[in-house]
Amino acid sequence: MAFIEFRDVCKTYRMGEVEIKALDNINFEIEQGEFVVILGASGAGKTTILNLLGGMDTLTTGTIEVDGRNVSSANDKELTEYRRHDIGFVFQFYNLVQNLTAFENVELARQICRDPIDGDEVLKLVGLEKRRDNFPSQLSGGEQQRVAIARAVAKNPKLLLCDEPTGALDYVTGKQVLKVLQDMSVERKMTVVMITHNAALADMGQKIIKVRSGKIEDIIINEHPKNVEDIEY
Amino acid sequence: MFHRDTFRLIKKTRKRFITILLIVLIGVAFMVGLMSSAPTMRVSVDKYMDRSDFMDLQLYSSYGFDDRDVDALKKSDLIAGIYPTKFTDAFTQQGESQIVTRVQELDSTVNRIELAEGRMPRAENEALALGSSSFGSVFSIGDTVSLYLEDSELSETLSVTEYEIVGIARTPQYMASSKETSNLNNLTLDTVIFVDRDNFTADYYTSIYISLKGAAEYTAFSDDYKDYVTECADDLDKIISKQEVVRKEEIIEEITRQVAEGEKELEEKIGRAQAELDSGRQQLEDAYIQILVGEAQITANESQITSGEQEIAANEALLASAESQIAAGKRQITAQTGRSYEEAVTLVNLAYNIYNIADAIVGNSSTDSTLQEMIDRKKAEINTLGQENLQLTGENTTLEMEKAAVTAENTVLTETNNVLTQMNATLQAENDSLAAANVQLETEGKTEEIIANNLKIAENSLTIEANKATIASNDIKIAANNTKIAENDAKIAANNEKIVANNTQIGTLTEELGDLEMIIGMLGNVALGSIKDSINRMFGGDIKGVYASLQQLQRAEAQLNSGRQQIASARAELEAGKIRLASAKTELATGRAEYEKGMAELEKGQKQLDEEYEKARIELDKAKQQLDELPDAQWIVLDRTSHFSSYMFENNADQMSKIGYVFPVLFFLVAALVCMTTMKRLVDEERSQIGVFSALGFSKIKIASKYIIYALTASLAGSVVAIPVGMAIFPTVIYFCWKLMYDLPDMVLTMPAHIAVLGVCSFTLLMAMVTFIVVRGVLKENPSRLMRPKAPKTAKKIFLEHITPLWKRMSFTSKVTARNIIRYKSRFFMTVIGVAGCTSLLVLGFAIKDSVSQVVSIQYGDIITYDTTVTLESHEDMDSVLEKLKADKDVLYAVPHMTYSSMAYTEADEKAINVYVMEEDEIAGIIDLRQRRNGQPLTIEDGAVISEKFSKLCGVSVGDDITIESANGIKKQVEVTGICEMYTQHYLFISRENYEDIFNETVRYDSIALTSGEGAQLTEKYKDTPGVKNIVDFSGMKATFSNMFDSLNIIIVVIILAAGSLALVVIMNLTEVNISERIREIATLKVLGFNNGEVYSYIFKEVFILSLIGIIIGLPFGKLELIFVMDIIDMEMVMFSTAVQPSSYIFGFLITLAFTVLVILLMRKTLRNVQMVESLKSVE
Repeated sequence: MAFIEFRDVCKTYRMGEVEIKALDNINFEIEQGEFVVILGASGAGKTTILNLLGGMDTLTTGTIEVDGRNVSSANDKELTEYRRHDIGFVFQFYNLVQNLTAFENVELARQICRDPIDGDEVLKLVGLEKRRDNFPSQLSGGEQQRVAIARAVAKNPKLLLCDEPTGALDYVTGKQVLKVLQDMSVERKMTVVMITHNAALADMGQKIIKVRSGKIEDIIINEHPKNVEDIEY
Repeated sequence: MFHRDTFRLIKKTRKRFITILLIVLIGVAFMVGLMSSAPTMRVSVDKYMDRSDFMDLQLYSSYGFDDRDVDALKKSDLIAGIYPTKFTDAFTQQGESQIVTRVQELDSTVNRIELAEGRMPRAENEALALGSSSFGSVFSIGDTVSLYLEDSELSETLSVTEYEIVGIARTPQYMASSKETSNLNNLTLDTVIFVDRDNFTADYYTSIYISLKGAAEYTAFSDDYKDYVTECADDLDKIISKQEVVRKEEIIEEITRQVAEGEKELEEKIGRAQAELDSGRQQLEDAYIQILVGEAQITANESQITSGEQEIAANEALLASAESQIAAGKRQITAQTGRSYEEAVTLVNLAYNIYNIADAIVGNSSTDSTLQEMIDRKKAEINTLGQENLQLTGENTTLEMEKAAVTAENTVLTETNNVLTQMNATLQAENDSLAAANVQLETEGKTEEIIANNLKIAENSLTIEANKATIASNDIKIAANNTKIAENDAKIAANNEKIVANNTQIGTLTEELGDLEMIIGMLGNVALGSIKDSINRMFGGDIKGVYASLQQLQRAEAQLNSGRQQIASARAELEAGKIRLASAKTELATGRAEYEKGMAELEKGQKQLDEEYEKARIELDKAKQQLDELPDAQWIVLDRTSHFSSYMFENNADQMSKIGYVFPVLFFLVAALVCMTTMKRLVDEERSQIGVFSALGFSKIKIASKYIIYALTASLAGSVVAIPVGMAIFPTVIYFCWKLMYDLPDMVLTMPAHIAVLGVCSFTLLMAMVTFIVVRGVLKENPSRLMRPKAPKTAKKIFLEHITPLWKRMSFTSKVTARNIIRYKSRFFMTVIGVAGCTSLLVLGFAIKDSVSQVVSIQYGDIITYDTTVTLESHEDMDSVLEKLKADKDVLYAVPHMTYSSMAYTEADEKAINVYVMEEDEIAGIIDLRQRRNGQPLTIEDGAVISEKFSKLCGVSVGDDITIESANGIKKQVEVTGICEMYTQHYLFISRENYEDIFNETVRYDSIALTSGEGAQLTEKYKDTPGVKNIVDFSGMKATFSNMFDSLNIIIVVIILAAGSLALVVIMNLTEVNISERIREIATLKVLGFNNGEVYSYIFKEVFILSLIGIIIGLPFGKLELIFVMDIIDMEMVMFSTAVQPSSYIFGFLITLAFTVLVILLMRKTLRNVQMVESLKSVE
């Protein structure tokens, strides 16, 4: 059995009289330690997948299993537990707490989970040990995103979910961030699921799931994922 | 088109819109409500006053008024109504307490009373009692009210002094629950009764009520009204100053007449008294003469007694000589007889008798025969006579026997005769019947039978004749016998006669024989002739002489004895006379003493009379002198500012309006802050849109107008609701509260337009201004910057971080909270001020209640520790009553003191003050004299201690001198050495020593203050104790007060509601803004796996801490507000405590906290509903 399984997942939004199918019978699997890229245009449904996977939203029909746990049938409390211990989330807009320093933002996440990684270690991992006492407003976007990754990783999650992590970043800093994510996957054998609309980034992934209009368009197994340094976009 | 966006915005952000609306609503409601309370009070009372034609002016005069005064006033065309009235103050007893009652006229046309209950009086002894819808009445219908005065007769001014209450009346004249001072020893008036005007007997009016033309058109208490009344009063002054003089002249005339009368009366009185004295003197002198006479008589009597005594002595000497003569006589007789006197007396008498007998018997006899022969002869004679008697007696016996036999024969004969006569009658009867039969027989012709009958008749006739012969012979015999009987009887009688004569002779002879035998016994058988000689020889030759001298001697002795008796009785008489004389002497002495006493008294009386006369004279002279110095009749014109109830009420209404101007400031401030926070957030959210509009070329004004309209709409909507709500609720509640102190009419709700406009405008403008300032700040930036996300505010290290040990221990949410709190200053202030306002209002509300009820509990619990006062009949009863009380173990302290009401004069003012005089070391038992601020005890050792309120009102401090009156009205200065805590009334405490030093008057204690033990019933126990005039227990007063103050709870409810809504709006707003601003952060936290509780604490900790800061700041502010409010509702006689009880702080704290928790609970749902998806959205 795979680490993550999506089986016949449907998600329907009701907007007054109209039903919109955000996801329509999605099926895929992800193995432990895989770096997966979910690729799709705006509104294709990739964020919905991420929301469901991250326990932030509930599906309409189908099942999702993560590490043997049925996420789709979990209640609010179980979902909170799931997010707390199993998921690390990296947002497009970093979502750092403005009133906390880089280190404190990491600590914020660490304090709620069972087996966290040391804060300073994580910051070192993302190369920001020198900025540990800076507030988000004193950091560049890339640095902020790296703090965000550190915050996600510090929880020592089973699964790292990244929502367009470079979406708000310039090329160079974007690459730095992607590098960090790749290192996490390679060095720490962490399962990483990254959402992007940028096809150029797809080569990074060991598995690329292409989504279009709520359906899986294609699942590509990339035997030789590219190093971030080698990717141009 | 542009403004459609505004309304869409309102719809979108309705929570914030409602927040602004609510804060404006509360603020405006509070403001207009409080501000219109005073006008409502004034207008309601104005209507009431107009309705009863309440006086605008009241006139008093030092001499009263008469009809001429009233007529003079009536000429003025300013006067709408005028009513000259009489009233008098009197006491009445209700249970233990003495009630000061004013008796007033029932049907005054000015100050008309309203009948609230019962009926109007119909008889002169019926009355209405003053009542009130809010605090009842002292007397109820059916009560009997007996009025009296303590030191004079009430009946001099009031013809009826006992009334039955038949109804309850109300009048604005006595609206206030506390009343003015009465005319009785400065005591406060308790109640009023209304009676018929004819019951007042005074010949002048006490006062004149005047209502002015046109005055009712002005609202009472307004400046216009006051100006108008002052103007009218000035006009009336002309009449008044003229009447003052007229009245004085009348008075002078009257007093002059009275003085003259008084003089006359005095002379008469003195004359009468002098006459009485004189007649007394005369009587005494008469009595004195009698005493002198009595004394002379006694002297005469005394000399009589002396001469009597001498006489007795002389007689006694005579008697003594007689006695010795008698003794000599006796001795002579003894010598003559040779026997003792007594024997001699018997012997002489005997001898004298014998001599006489001998003389008688012997005289005719031969003197030769001897005594014995004579005796024998006599014996023989007696014997012969005896023999004769025996013979006669025998004869008589024979004669008697003969007589008896004849008598018996006669009896037989008589019997026989009787039988024969009987037989003759029978025979005759037979003959007659035979003769009759013969007549019959003859007619029948029976001759034979007739013959037989005739034979028979003849036979019978023969028998009859024979019988008759027998009878006749018998009768002869009887006659012969009777003769014989008579003969015998005569013989017997003769014999008996003889016997008697014989016996008499025998007697005489036997006597003679006895004498003779006696003589023979004495003298022997002497010859008869020598008897006399013998006797004479025996007695010295002359028995007769001896006998005679003996007789003489005996007579002399009898005389002597009677002489002795006479002397004894004379002596007894003399002794009795002496005793009588002694008692007469004593009587005279008493009489003399009495006379002297009477004389002394008379002199004293004379002296007194002279003194009295002089005193009266002086007084009359003084009166004459006063008359010369008589001041002009002073008319006092009082308007309503001097009318007690109106004045009190107006002051209270003014205080109310002050509060109305101050409290809304708090709401003003909070509203501004709420508006600012809300609008800032709104503008922040709309930032990019503003940028777009700006870029599109809309003017700044146009853009700003969107938000200003937003704020204005909210404000106006809030105001529209607030004005009716506020103007209805607050005045109603406040009016209700004032009803505790005033008998107010039904409330007339006034909604003064200017207040409404002021309320709406002030808040609306404030909102607009705040909004404008907020928007202007944003519009200063250029559009391009606006369209970009706002640069996050740079986080800074806060001071807490420098305290590393603390900071390290804080959780991350606490750190965020700490940083947030310090970062957003306007929110901080809004919340802190809002919450502090809420807390302080609550503290204020509870503290007002505390303060008012504390006045009672501190005043009557801690300060005045005595609970009972005993008033004595006289200060002379002090020792006996005090001794009893001190022996009672229920009495913890019994402190004698003197108390009276005095005027106290200071530079600033003059006020009535209660003066207490007692021993300086005893005061602690009944009153805890202490300074309020530090509780330091005070002593009255060095001078007077006055109450704090008095010192404040008159500006007197320690070391100052104030002038007070003594109990007898002497004015002197005393030094104030202490100012004591005291919440009601004005007091001055002074020690007896100081008092006596200052006033040079002796203190006579006439009251005792008692501190009683738990549950002691002293009133019952001592009310009938001799010397106790009155005993009053006022521990019940405390309970009454407490009940009254319970009504204050409604104020607390209003304050809690106002404060609560304030807190709710503010905290709600804060939370709402916090959540909306940090919605992204919250979503992120949720994504990170924070559970609900952790998210709540992340947000609410801030709210909670801000509230807490607000509460802590609010607590002392509550105290400040209390000081402020209490300063405003300053009452003349009451000092409110500004101490706040811990419980009030605790309630303020807890209730605000409860509001905070309530908001937090309400807002949890909002937090739960934050979607995690929000975290994925881009930054705007």
